[in-house]
Amino acid sequence: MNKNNQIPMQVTPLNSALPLKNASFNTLTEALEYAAQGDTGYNFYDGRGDLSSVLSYKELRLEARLLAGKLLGLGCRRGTRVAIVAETDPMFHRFFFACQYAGYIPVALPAGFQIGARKAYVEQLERMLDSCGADLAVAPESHIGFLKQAVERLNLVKAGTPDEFDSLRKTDISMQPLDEDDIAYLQYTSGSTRFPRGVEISQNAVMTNLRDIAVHGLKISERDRMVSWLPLYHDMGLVAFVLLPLGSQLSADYLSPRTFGMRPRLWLKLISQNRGTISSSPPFGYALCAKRLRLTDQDRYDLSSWRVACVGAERIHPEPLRQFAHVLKAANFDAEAFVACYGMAECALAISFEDLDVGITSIQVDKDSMSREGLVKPLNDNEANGLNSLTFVDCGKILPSFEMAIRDDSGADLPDYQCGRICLRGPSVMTGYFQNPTATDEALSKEGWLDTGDIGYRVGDNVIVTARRKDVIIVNGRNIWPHDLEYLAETLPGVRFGNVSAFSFADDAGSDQVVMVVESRESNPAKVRSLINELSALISKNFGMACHIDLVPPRTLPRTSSGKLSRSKAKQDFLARLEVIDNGTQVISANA
Amino acid sequence: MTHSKIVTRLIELLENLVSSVEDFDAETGLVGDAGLESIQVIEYLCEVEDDFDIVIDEEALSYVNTVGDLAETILKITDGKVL
Repeated sequence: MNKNNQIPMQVTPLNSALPLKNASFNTLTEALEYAAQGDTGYNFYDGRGDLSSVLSYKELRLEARLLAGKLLGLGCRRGTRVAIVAETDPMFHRFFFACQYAGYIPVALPAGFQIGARKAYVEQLERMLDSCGADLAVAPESHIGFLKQAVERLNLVKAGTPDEFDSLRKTDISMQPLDEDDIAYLQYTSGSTRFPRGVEISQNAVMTNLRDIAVHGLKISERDRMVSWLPLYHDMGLVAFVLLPLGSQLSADYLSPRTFGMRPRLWLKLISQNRGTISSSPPFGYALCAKRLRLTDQDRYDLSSWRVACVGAERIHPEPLRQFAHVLKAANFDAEAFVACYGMAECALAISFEDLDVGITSIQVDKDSMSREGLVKPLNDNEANGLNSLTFVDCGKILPSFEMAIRDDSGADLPDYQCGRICLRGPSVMTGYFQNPTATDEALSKEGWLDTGDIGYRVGDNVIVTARRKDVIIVNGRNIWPHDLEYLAETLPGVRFGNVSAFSFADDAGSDQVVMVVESRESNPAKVRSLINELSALISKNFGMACHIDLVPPRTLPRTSSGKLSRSKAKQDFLARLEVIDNGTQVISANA
Repeated sequence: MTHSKIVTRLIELLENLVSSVEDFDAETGLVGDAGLESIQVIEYLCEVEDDFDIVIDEEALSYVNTVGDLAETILKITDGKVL
């Protein structure tokens, strides 16, 4: 199509033809059928920031329907899972929507890579394919080698490249698109890579969330244009930048996550050049961008069009955002464009947004009363001095379709300004974890309440998240499950199962430091050193991060009365040991 | 360019990212020994691609562990041509 045309490729325009409908549809195919009547669509930019392909909604509709007919010829049942290795490429959109038309359930698989980590990546793909019971799987040329290896031990109907699927014969089997009560897609949470969990999102759940986001969160108009480098296999990339623009007939411009990592300034260039109005990132993306900017760059960008810069997906520290806004002030970036938000795959995507045009609202609270009783006492600037205070960011009002409760461990509702577990109910909440009743029952009550596992407090309908998912370790925007780190340590000779505890803590500079406490009988210093080195190398290789290894004698790690390791107590003990030796950060950096 | 010259250049490029490259050679593991974090690996690849004016695909990178492996990959991409 575009590639073979003699006419130079044109980016899709703003929506000028169709009356705006903000996701007022029952299903994703209905949304596409409407958007296809206009001229908007998706634009893909390559590693140098040049336009490489264009997929208008009109073309997407035609191609997805054609492909759906071919997929149906493979004779799979309705509801068949189709795994798509989600590189930022038009093939992802084509297959995702072909599934919608064919009545199949798409599942985006990660296309991320780590240098030298072939085995770990292939195993991750295999576990995901297995856990969602995929019958079909597709990967772009760049990733087909990994996919083919991952399916070797599985019994799929077909796994191949887009070309291999495109060359299938067309059938006249009548299409029955996914209906509003059907599952729209499975979303792998960024949880454990060893025990992946696919969140089931129904058509109704995602459409409700898209409506909430478009109308109440972002107040989308036909003048909006979206720009994104987020991975399409993450909820923010998929829902906010594939489904939301489609649901509101907006054009969207993409860079791949790898391009962003290599050349973050291309993000700003694309926003400037295409007059993007909405673009989001976890905090680390803004920090990375600010770090690579030169002061002389400012004149090269004009970010005045950027009205919504959402910040979410991990704990928000205001400082890197201030830095970003400061460096780009001369490029007309408005710090009030920052919008803190809160969300998770289990709620399709978004739960709350801060008001537009106010920027980041930091709240300082009394540290002592917070840590002792979970009671929030706001401090004003004169009272707070950094030592007696903690800083949090207001994540704004919950979207209207949600009900929120803050609960204590016994399940009792807590009043405003009291920290507890954030619980939510509403039509955007997942149906459950796919074919995993145990995990579903842990998260969802019979009355439909989702226990998010996050800790926070409310002030009216505003939510302030104080700690995300118990135990999760976040490094450069990636969620790492302590279980996965501990498992890795337990594969080494000399480390016994259950004698390891991994966690992270924020150092004085607010950065997360990862620590693993390992019990070992080894006392020979040379052997201790070599075990630590071996383990550090293993973690670097599998997770691409530094980790402080704390080797301790057997029976040091704290256990609960039932014999289970207590990670929070292990962390407390470690921090106490650290204070005795020094004041923390120096010891860590020397060993890390 | 020979393999060993590429290795030397790759180590020079690492200097911007790590505190010391003194003991580095072809056997140095980029992640394990050099201690690059995943975001630094991407930053490093950007420098390497720009420096050698090439693009390295995911498939090739997935086999790269050491500086020597990366040099081997670059040699293959450039087909031994003088750079």
